[in-house]
Amino acid sequence: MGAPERIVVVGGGVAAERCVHGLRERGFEGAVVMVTREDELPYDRTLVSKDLLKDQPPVAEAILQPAEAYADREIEVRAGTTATSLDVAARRLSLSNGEVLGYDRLVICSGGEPVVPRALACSGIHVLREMRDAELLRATLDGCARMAIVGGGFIGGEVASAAAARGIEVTMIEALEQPLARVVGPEAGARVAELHRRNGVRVLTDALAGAIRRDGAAFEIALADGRSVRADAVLVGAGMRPATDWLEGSPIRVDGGIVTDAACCTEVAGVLAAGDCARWWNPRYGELMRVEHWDTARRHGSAVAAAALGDETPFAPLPFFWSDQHGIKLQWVGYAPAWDEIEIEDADPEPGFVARYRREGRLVAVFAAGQPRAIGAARRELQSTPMEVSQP
Amino acid sequence: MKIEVDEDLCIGSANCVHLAKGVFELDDDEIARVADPGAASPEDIRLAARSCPTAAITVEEDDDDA
Repeated sequence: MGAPERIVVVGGGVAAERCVHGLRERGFEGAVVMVTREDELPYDRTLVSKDLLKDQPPVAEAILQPAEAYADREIEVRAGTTATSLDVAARRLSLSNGEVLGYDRLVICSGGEPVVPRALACSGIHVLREMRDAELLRATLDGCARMAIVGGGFIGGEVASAAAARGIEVTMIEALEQPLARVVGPEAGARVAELHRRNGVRVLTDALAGAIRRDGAAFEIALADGRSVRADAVLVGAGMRPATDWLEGSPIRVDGGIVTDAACCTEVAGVLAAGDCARWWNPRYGELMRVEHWDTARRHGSAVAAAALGDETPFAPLPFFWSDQHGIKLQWVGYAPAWDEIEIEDADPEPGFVARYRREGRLVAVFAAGQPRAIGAARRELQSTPMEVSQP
Repeated sequence: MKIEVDEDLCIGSANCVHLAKGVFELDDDEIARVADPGAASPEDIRLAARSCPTAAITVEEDDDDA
């Protein structure tokens, strides 16, 4: 492949933002076009479930870089525009505004979209991923007395915190035995449930929401065990899926995300992917991974910019995420799809704790509440662990 | 307002760079440092501190902070 002249980036999250600016920081002088579905320039999505739900939300602060930063660097932005189809043979991308863009490199950072199980579909319920969703939810929280949150994951937990802080009576409906159990396990999940309860959140566990019915201004959520929960507002935080429908019919391989090698390249020449939509070969663990964390997406965006310009440095991040719930910073570092030993230690101040996950005697991840130093130490230890294997 | 970044905790996620624009910048090692403590409001600096993924930023209030 010759040197690219025009690079098109699909997406408007932090991976796309790091990519377009990263191209310029690396001296790329050709055309750069960013196509983003949202109306806003890339912003700090982590605030959508935190400060952007407060009164006087910090909207301007959340924007990563002002419009001038794009103009000065000659980065063309097509906002409020989606990619609709792709012709990889002709290297042409069709957009919702009718435009057809040719490219030498196409970088797909199209992110994800919230999943609402079909049984829970009901007009008036909320999901939360974008700034627009936060605006709608904020308006609902004003004047809401009782809120139901389906799903005790990160979005559910942070919205529960925001709602409880406003004095709203919150019921969290979690299908598993504890909130966050799928990620941190039931033992640490129980600690998170306790954190919610001591802040006034009613936490229902092993509670499968079967249907949501609207009853005038109120909602009624029927649980599989026959119980029901009534609320003035409902948020469904049931996870996300990669936003890749527009690639149907293209030869880009999508299998739980857009599949790439360690250098962000798909099997199709000139097409790369990064961020929440990508499932890449992480040489640190020797497997294909898709990670939905801000820190990973950000690093992935920088890596894909380098890769688009021919740098084949493998992308091998140590997964890290954090969540602010009821004023406590929950942090996780490492990768532990399975473990055979977990050790939880109480830590000051209350209700702090550090959970260490080991597999075959080796530390694989640490989850902690209000213990940033323990996480820092774990990061150093995990980073020094030798990488697994290279791609076959 | 006294602002400190703990270099041992900072991972260069740069949230502070946009949340308190002008106050923080990343150095060549991608570690945040205070560039101009007066470039943003105390409120934005507090937002940056509480939004830091690694809790690396501490702020100490002066009597005259808004």
